[in-house]
Amino acid sequence: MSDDGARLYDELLAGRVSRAELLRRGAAVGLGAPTLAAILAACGGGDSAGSGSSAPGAVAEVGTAVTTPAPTGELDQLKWGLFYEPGPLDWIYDYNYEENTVVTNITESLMRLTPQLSIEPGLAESHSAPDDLTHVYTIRQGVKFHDGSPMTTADVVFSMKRHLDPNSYWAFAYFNVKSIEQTGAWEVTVRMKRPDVIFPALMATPAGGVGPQAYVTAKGKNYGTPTAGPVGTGPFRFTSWNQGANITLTRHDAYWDTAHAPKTKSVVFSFIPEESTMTTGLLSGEIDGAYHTPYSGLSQLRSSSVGTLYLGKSMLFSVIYISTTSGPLANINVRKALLKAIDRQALAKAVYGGAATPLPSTMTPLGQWSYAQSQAEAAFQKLPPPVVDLEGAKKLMQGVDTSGTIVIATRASFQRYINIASIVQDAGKKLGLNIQIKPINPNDYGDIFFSDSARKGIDMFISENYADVPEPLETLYVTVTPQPPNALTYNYDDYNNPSVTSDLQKAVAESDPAKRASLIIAAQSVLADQPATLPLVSPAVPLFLNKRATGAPASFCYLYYPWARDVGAA
Amino acid sequence: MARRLAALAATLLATSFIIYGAVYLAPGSPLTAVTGGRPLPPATLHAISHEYGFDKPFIVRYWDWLTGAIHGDFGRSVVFRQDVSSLITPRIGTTVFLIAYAALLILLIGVALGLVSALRKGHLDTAILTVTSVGTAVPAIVAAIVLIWIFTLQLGWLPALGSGSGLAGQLRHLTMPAIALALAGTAYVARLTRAAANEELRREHVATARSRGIPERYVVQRHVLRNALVPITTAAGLTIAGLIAGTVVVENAFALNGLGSFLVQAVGQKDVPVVQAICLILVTAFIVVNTVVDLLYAVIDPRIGFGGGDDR
Repeated sequence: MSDDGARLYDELLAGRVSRAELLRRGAAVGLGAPTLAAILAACGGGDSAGSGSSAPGAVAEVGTAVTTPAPTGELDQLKWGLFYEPGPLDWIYDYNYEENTVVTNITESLMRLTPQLSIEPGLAESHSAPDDLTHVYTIRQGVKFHDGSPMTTADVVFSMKRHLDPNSYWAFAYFNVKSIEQTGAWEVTVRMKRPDVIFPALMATPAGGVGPQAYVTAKGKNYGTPTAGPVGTGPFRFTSWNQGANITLTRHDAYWDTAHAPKTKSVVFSFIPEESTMTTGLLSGEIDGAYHTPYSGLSQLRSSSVGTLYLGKSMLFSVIYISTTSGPLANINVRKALLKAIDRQALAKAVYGGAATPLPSTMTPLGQWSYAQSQAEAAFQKLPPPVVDLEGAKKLMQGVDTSGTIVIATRASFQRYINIASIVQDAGKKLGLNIQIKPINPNDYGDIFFSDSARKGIDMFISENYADVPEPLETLYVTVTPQPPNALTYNYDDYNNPSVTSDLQKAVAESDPAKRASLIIAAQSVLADQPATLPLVSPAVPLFLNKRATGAPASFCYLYYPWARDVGAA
Repeated sequence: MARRLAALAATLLATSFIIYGAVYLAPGSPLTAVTGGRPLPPATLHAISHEYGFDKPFIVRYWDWLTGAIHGDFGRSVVFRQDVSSLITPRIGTTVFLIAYAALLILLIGVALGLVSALRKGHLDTAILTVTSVGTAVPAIVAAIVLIWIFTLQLGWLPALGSGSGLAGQLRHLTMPAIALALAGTAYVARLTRAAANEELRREHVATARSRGIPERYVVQRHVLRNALVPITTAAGLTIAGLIAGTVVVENAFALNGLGSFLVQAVGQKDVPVVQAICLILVTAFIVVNTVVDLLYAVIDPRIGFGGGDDR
């Protein structure tokens, strides 16, 4: 047994780690399944791996898992649950959970998100930026598409240019791009209108996806639909789409990344919109696993002997966006006071079943930092902690005019948002603020993000959002600085703090990670004092795997990493 | 018959207009469903709105849809970026199978329970009456949850999700959904059959038949059942037509790829062409079932002519 193993063993005996954690951490430090099994056997007890973590202190470990134990053999078929049927599997339209969960195994990108939530080369062998306005990608050679044709540099240029059409849901990634050209046999050069460090990070998402020009062009608007299935370079090829029921992928035997050759012959994704049915399917073994399992079933899954529930490292954040420039919320002190009065610890437990960590006064969870991590963590610790400070809050409210009502929008019939809204309402009451909950028809809730008219009469609204890439600027920049009229934005209260704007504008152009981190951290501390939003918690990624299957990464990478290649028999 | 077809066409036209208008007037756009609520830049919104004609006035869009539909083109789903017909065809089978299965359960078990209850007084009657009283009050979703708990989680006999393939597979997968769907209807039909049979049993012609020494089997067949069939058919017909709406809940609970669950999803996503097409199919089916019931009246009781006075 290695030193790591021995330490884990001691900790397990001392009751400091649960069995689930042991498996997670064991896998993370590279312990094989036999070693872990030996440790567990030595400790005795046959209960499920997930049930041990009931100590109050265990909450701190939520959201840390990045891997699951490595598989010991091959799996014939993996049955996976999706909580809705994906739209077309054409990467330019894949901008939501389940589309990406599937397509990431088919269509790969120039860069790739890793289970540790960092960015590494994918279909590009390397990326370099000779200056702030130029990005050079060296394309990997010897890569084959599922239809047998070789991937060429022309395919890469064609694929990137598809996003220059505003119809692409990822067109925003190319907002600052001036040109995309082939500049060598295996080289593509992207020139920018202005420096933008978010662009190269987004090449790890479908914004950097690559498909075969001939096939995509031939299929036209049907590409990616069941009649003209997607073709990519990934570890799995599209096989069939039984509409309304399931999608089947089969192993791509000529997969270029031979060190990560898939260990499962086929993956069947079933669409299960009803939360209780998803939980039942996992408990009955009809499906082997699912990401983002319903919160309503977490306790059942946690205590089940059928498999293990992991709560993985994430880039998710639950936040209240402020969408007014008048009324009490326009006063920065009211925002600060309200945040101090909201019990984020209780919210993480009650609303997310403990599968979330409270955020200090920042909307950037540590999972979004792929660089300068120790610097980021130190700064994170210094932020006002997520504890209730009613005295401090009341002090801030002195002399504030609390007349008038504040309207918070929630998605009707969406239990988590309703619960959050009442926690916020309750916090407001303690400060003399009259907060009214306005339920919005679930179908129309998304409109609040899109249209000014939908936000009329709404002072704040709840959102569970995520960063696509581990670059804090991706979500922070567009939320707290003024954006040009035709750009993507989450800045609904015209927030413009000169020091934040200046720091973040410099950061977006700063290619040196350490310097960029300093600028972001400086802005983050100003934002903690002058809040633009009310950050609540960072939900972890709930992943359930039954005893047949293991190896799936536990982190948020599953949207943009070909995760199914790592899954095999337990 | 021609009159009925014309009425069907008129109903469909009116329905299509009302549904189109309702979905159109409700706020929100399909794009928010497509991106999970994450915003898109204005240029992308404009491009997509233009591609799908969201920027055209309501009446123009409805006219475009209507002229397309007459030519068999029901439009293109915004969410799936596919022709609606190719989305709907694979789903019809599951829903038809489910409704047929449930209808069979309602007819066989409902009528049988009702007759037994009417003819065998005493404890059996009381027991059936109690069970059916509870049965009529159980919503399909509750039945689904209880069935899944017993037969999937506790006993492990039946699968909780998916539609299965092949006849055996479909029977295995759709038995629980069909029971959940049929439960309330079966109880209702049983109670109604019992009442109708009791009514007939009290009639003079039954007493006369019995006094003449006609065997009980013939009395039940010729005098009781025959006459009770009209109210039973009415109740069963309405119940079965009502199943069409019930599939929405049951398909969702069992993750079946039917039209009902697809309708729920499409309404949520404001995918107008899909909502439109499914609603029209459901309306047509409802009208067809009712027409079949009318035809059956004529068979059961020749005095009731088909297509005569539309007084029902």
